[in-house]
Amino acid sequence: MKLKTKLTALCAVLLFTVAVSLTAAMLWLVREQSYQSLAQNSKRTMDTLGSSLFQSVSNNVLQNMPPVSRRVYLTYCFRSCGVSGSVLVADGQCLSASTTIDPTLYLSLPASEELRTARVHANGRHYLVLGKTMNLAACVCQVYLVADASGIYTQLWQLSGWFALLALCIGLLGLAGGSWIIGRTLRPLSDLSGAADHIASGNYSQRVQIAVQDEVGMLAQNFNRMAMAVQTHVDTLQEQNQRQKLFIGAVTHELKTPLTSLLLNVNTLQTVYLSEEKQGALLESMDTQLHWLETMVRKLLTLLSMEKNVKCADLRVPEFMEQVRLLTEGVCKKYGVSLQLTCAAEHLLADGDLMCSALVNLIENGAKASPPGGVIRVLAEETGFTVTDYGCGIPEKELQRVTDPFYMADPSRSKAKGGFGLGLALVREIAAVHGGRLELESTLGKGTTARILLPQR
Amino acid sequence: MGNRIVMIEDDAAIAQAVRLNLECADYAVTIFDNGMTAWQALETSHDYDLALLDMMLPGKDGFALLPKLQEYGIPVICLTAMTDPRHEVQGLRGGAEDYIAKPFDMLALMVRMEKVLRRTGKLEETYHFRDLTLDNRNRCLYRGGQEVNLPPLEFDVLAVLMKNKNRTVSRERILNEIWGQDYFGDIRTVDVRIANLRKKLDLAEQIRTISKAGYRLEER
Repeated sequence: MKLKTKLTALCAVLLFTVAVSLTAAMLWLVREQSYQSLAQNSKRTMDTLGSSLFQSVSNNVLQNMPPVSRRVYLTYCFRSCGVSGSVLVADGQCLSASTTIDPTLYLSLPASEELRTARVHANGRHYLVLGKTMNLAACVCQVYLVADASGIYTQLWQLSGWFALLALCIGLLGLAGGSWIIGRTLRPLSDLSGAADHIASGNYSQRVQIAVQDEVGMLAQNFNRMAMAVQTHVDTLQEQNQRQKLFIGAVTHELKTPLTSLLLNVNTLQTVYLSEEKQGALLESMDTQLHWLETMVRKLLTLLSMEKNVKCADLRVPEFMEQVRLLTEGVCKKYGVSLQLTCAAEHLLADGDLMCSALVNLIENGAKASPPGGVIRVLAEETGFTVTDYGCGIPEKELQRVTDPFYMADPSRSKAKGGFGLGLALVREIAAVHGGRLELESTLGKGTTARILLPQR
Repeated sequence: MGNRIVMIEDDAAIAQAVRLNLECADYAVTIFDNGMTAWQALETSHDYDLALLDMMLPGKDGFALLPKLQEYGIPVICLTAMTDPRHEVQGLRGGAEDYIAKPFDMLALMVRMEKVLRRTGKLEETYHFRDLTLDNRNRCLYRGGQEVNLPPLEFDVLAVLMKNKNRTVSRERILNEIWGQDYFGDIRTVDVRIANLRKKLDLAEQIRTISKAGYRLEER
């Protein structure tokens, strides 16, 4: 069942209950009041009856009469008062009655002269019975007055009809009004549901426009926030996915060339009759290719599995720099460059092996770019490491792309120098797993500065 | 001498392997490892029957070189690691005769080269081995200048062997070359022809049986 229907039904039930109980309460009040006024009237009649009976009965006469005469005399006096609906009972005997019911059945009177009342429903009609014990000389008699109360009930029935009509009108009006208000309140929810549908079908930029300030408004706001978060996440994932695809594409492409030549060479060795000298040359070339492949796969694995293996620890910078110097000695000698190391910090929090590999990569790059006799400066400080060379520099349009895996500014030259185009990608990744980043600055012809910025504690 | 091939490929290992294979089959191979040097060299000398062109080249890429090669009427087979169909279409539209993706099979490359050369009417079909000269077009065999008559099947088998000098050819391949792909005959037919050839032309040592692979005509 729809929420609107449910709420409307609830509202209707509430309205109905309230109307019914109010009507019942009103009717009860009206009945009580009617009975009270009837009782007052009847009491007055009763009092009048009592006093006129006293006046007409002469005590002296009554005392000296024999019982039979006394009853006749009393009956005469009582009747002469002329009150309809009155009953006189003396010595347990009904002397005079002008009613349709016997009041003695419904009302027992005490010996004292107390007025008692009772409500009676008999023969399909309602009555109010009043009774009083009276001492007339030596004679104790009971006087009853029976008032017809059916009029009250007729009036009540009429009233209840009107009340029902009124309650129905109010109920219908309330229902219509309630339904309209509930509909208005719930409309933003259906808007939300529509927006959620859109989002579920992949349209992540969908938002809801709800200006109300109630809980639904808050829900809408939260919904929008959630949609934004989802969109951001999906975008990030898609971007990651795209990057990964490009990466895999690049890997496949890079693997193809050495594989092609390996396959060709194996095929040649299998089928072509070659001199021993040529065979040896071919095998040597295959050996080089296989080593190249092996190194590339190893570097790729490092790149891919880095996040898992990073172990940050306190790094003693001077010793670390010494290690870097030892590792790059060969490269520096090969390209005829000298290394200048500066330590401006004693301790750093980093993974020593990874950071060392990053610096070696940067120094190698610098050495390849530098002219013979050039200098490469390495600075270690609290904020991270800086490697500066004064070599050929990187053109500005390529600066963005040099950190992409397999990107080579000059493919033929880089390959000739034994590069894979993975070095800077590796450095960038190492900086990233430390929570930092790699910054490159370069001026063509003047040199390049690479900074590994570490997060500050 | 056989057909002249120009190969423009920046990966030295691939270029060398292809050159080795092609030279065995009597092709004359010239190699350029840079698009720009190839461009300049072609301007002065462009007497080639076929070009093998890598698409990703330093200097000038393959797509830029295609029109130049067309200008000199050199048919082109593209060799590339780019397997994107768009590149293939671009290459073929640009005038390439064929398109082979790396990694490729040498035999497949040689068959395609032969097809292209035959189509352009440039296929050199005269093969030499020691004192033997086989003219496949006119179906003549000369031994030291004297014509030798061979039954057709034996002539065909010898032609295949001479075409693939120094290269192992399987019995199936020999049959395929003679009768086409769909031949399902007895491959021992080949053994009989080989035995005859060995006897008639004194090639007992030169035609070597390579176990489990086939036969090879060896020139030492």
